[in-house]
Amino acid sequence: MGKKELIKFENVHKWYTPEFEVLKGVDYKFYKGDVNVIIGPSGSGKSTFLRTINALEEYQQGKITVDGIELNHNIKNINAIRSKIGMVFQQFNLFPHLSVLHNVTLSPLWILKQSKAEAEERAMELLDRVGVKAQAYKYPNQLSGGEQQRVAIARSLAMNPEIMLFDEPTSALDPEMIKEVLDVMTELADKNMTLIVVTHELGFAKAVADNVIFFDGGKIVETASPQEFFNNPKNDRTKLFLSQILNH
Amino acid sequence: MKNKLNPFLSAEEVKHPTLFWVRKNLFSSVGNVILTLISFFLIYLLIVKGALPLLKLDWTVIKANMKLIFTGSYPMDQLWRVWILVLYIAIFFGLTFRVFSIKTPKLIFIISGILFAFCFLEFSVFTKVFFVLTASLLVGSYFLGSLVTKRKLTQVIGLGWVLLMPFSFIIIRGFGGFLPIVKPNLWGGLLLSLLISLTSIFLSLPIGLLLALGRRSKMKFIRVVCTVIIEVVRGVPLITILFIGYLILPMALPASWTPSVFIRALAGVVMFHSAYMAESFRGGLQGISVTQYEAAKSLNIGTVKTMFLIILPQVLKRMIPILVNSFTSALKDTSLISIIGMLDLIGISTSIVSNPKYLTGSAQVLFFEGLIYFILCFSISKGSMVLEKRLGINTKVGM
Repeated sequence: MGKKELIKFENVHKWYTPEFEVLKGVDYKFYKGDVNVIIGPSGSGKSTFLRTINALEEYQQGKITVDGIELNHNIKNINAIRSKIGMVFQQFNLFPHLSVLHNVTLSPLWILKQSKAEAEERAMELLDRVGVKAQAYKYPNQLSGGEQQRVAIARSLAMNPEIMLFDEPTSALDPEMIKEVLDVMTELADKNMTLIVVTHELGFAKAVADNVIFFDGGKIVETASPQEFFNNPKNDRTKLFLSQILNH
Repeated sequence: MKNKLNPFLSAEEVKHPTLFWVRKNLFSSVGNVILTLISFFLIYLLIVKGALPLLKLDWTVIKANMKLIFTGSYPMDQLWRVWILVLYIAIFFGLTFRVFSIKTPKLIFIISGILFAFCFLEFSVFTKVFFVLTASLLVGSYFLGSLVTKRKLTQVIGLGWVLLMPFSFIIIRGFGGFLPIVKPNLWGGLLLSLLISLTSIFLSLPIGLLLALGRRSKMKFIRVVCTVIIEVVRGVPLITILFIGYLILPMALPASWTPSVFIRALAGVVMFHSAYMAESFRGGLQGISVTQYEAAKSLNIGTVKTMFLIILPQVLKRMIPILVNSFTSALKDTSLISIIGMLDLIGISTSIVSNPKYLTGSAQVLFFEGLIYFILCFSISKGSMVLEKRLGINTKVGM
């Protein structure tokens, strides 16, 4: 296996106060082109785990390396890492004062210094790819949740990331809109982009994931391929969790 | 025909709409009858005791002191400079209307009409020429504005309003060799009031924003310094700040270091409004969810760019009502500088009525000044409503 190691967590701890520790020693390696799905109960620290990768959360101990760059207080490193990573949030977090097109072109124009024509052409291409090209001149609140989330995906893709982080991307959506977002994510996976997804959509995990990571109590409890994970879980905590959500 | 089909209208209403309106709105119950009668009596009193006596008064005091009220002791032979400033404002006023109004604005024609009408009153030829010029520039720039694209025009007026403050100081004060210097102690009346309030509005915006950001800063030193400045300045009446500048500062500083009274008053007013502005900004900034910052970070947008591209546009739009509030109070608060002997609109009125010739004129002068203040503040608030509506059309959905 010649897979390239992309993100490395070495004994990462994060705490707000010494009594309130959110990550309790996380070791993990993400490989290029893999689709990683993180599942676990609420409050287990899985979102925090995801958010440490692009420095939305700081960590207090251990070491995170992204594509050979160490994630520390050096703002240059943080920027270099963020430029490789796109992120999609549960609440979409589009910029409400900008049209859909402007949302997508904002950072290419100001950060990548693309020309207006270039940025808009690329934005339209991406909006077409996620299926919201017709809404390009509308404002975010005129769109449905599913459409907003797809715009958010296009906005991240416009920065040409190598890795995409998804923080419960479908949790705020109506059931009929979940599929349209998952379809876009599946398409990204098919294009061999590295995805790290925190989600409760087990169907997506089964169908698309290369690795499933079960997170509980600030630690990675079990990692396995989806077949192994869902059919033959090793850890008792995993078995309990799966029985609770599969047999309701 | 249409009325008959409307199921919400009764047969009576269709027959006698006016009578029906009067009964419905004024005499629908015993309580309303009483309230209507009381209101009519109050309106009667207001007209007979309030408005009619005004007409009987001798208004020569205003006519004779018109120049003093508007520009104070600004030299007569340099008065054209003030008019240039008026023309500058007229041009950008017209252009602004071109950008912001949807229909042809009546206001522009009303103002121009009034200015033309003034030409039939007893003014000097010089003044009349500028009245006509102002009116024509106002209307002219509105129509010529259509020659340029809206996007270009928006940039031009933005620049025009931002440059208004430096421009007015250059033209009023004069600059090296080209225009003779007119010292600030000769400025007065409405001119002085407007210059000071304009400056305090212009400067309190950026200073207030910096103070607000400082107060939210992660660095403790900056946070403490900004908080102390805001709280101390806000905790003291403007009069006190003005007196400190006027009386204490010259005692504390060597004579050669002490700036002129004008600068000291100006600095006091600016400082005072910046502190208030800072708190308005802080309120506005708190209304923006932290997720907006996170989204910006995830897109690798830096702190400064996040502020200018994402946060401030949202904050400013929400702050329009509060900004208008600050602008009107900045305009009116400048009247306090008369207490430290500056001859602004209020200061000049005190000196006019202390002239034995005009002893009976104080009511007229005060009424006239009240009218000026009201017109200014009312136009600011009207203008802001247009702006709000206009921005709302584009972004009601965008907030």
